[in-house]
Amino acid sequence: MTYTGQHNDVAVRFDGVSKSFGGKRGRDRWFRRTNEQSAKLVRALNDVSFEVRKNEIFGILGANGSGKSTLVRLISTLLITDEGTITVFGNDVRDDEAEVKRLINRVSVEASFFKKLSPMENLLYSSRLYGRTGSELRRDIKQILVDLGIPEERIGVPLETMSRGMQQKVAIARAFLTSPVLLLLDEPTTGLDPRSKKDVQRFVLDLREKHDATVLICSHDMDEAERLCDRIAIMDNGRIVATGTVDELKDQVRGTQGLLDPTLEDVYMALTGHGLVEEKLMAGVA
Amino acid sequence: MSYVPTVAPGTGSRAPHRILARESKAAMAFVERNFYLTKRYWGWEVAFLVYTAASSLSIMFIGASQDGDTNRLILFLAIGTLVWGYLNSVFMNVAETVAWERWEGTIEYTMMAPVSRVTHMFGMSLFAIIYGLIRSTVLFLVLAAFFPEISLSEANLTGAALVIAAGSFSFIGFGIVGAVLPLLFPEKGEQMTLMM
Repeated sequence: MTYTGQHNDVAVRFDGVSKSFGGKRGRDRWFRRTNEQSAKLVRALNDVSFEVRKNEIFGILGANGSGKSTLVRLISTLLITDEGTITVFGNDVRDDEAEVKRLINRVSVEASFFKKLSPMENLLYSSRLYGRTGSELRRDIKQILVDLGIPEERIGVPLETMSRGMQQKVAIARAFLTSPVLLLLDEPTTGLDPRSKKDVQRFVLDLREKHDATVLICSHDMDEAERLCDRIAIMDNGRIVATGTVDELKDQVRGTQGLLDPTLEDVYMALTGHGLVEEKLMAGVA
Repeated sequence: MSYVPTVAPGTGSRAPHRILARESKAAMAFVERNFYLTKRYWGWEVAFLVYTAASSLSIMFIGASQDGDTNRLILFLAIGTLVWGYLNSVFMNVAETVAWERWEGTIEYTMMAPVSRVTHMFGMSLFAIIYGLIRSTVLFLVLAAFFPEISLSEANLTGAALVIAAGSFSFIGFGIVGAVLPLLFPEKGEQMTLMM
């Protein structure tokens, strides 16, 4: 599958991207097996092509192990593609790594922090890595944390004393503080209570509206995807099986398999042949 | 929801002095972060300082128990333990660069930040030197409290600074080699770093 569309306002472009983990080693070399013949080879992404337009909220919907996080790590310059190219605002993630890094930030399902440090200390550190300094930085950190519902008296206490939901909000603050032009959200609201989830979703919409940011969000939360995303790509087994708006995707399956008024979950099941909750055992590919 | 980011990234100038300023700020971020961590782990800092002081003092008391004029011997032993303690501290701080972040789970965020690896290592090394010097000064004061006869009035401070600089440079090099090991072999690499 090779992308052939043309848009002048492209934020992210994947063109024939493949990524595998593992491959032949040890015994496989002895038996002269190729990468493909090796049982250890896990193909996380398989010839993936799509584009995300500027100022768009683009969703990647897929089960665990479908390759969503690998896709985010490739954009984040943490992994290198085996085949194909990825560009972020025209910058190749391999050749223009430094420039891409300045354009992006990410929130993943794990709120990764120095747990002994307070939210303020953690955010000062991460913001300074992105070149933010000055007295207004402390003010901004305080402001964003309060906006996200972190009580002011908790801003100076170690993160290890906070709930997972609160830690996740601090992770979201970390990404927003660097005002990324492209924000990568990898299941950002997993584990959050309904109110916190709504807060975060409102913040994402705010960021897009007021800051002209582009958002790529990986999720297996159908409601979240439907509420936030302008367009959605459905991913299964390392491949993009469909892309479009929610209505376009529903239209694709309407009338098939007796689906007259399909939900997004129906769409997913119809296009992939299984539900989102099925776990796929793909070692090393979250 | 009133916070709206106002600083657009990606607009970073590529002029050399701008790059230098940006990387210097980033290097200082590592220094500042490590001082925050030191502050949060103050109890352990005290515990390790007591351990180092006890080791140094035990060596010096052995020197003091020798026959004859032991002042010169004690001074040699004091300098030896201080320099060793300093270099050990520099090595461990640099060597833990990757292991600590893996343990906390922050390594991916540091790696995807717009900061060069050289800046990362420079920031960590700068912290290691500042921390090592402060710790050695405190250790010296502890040793001097037990051995008031120690005098640095005739010390060759320039020579000492040169030795410290050469030692720091070498041990930072070893530390960087040690720091990379956990990236190559997550668990065993960390053990290998400790063995170094």
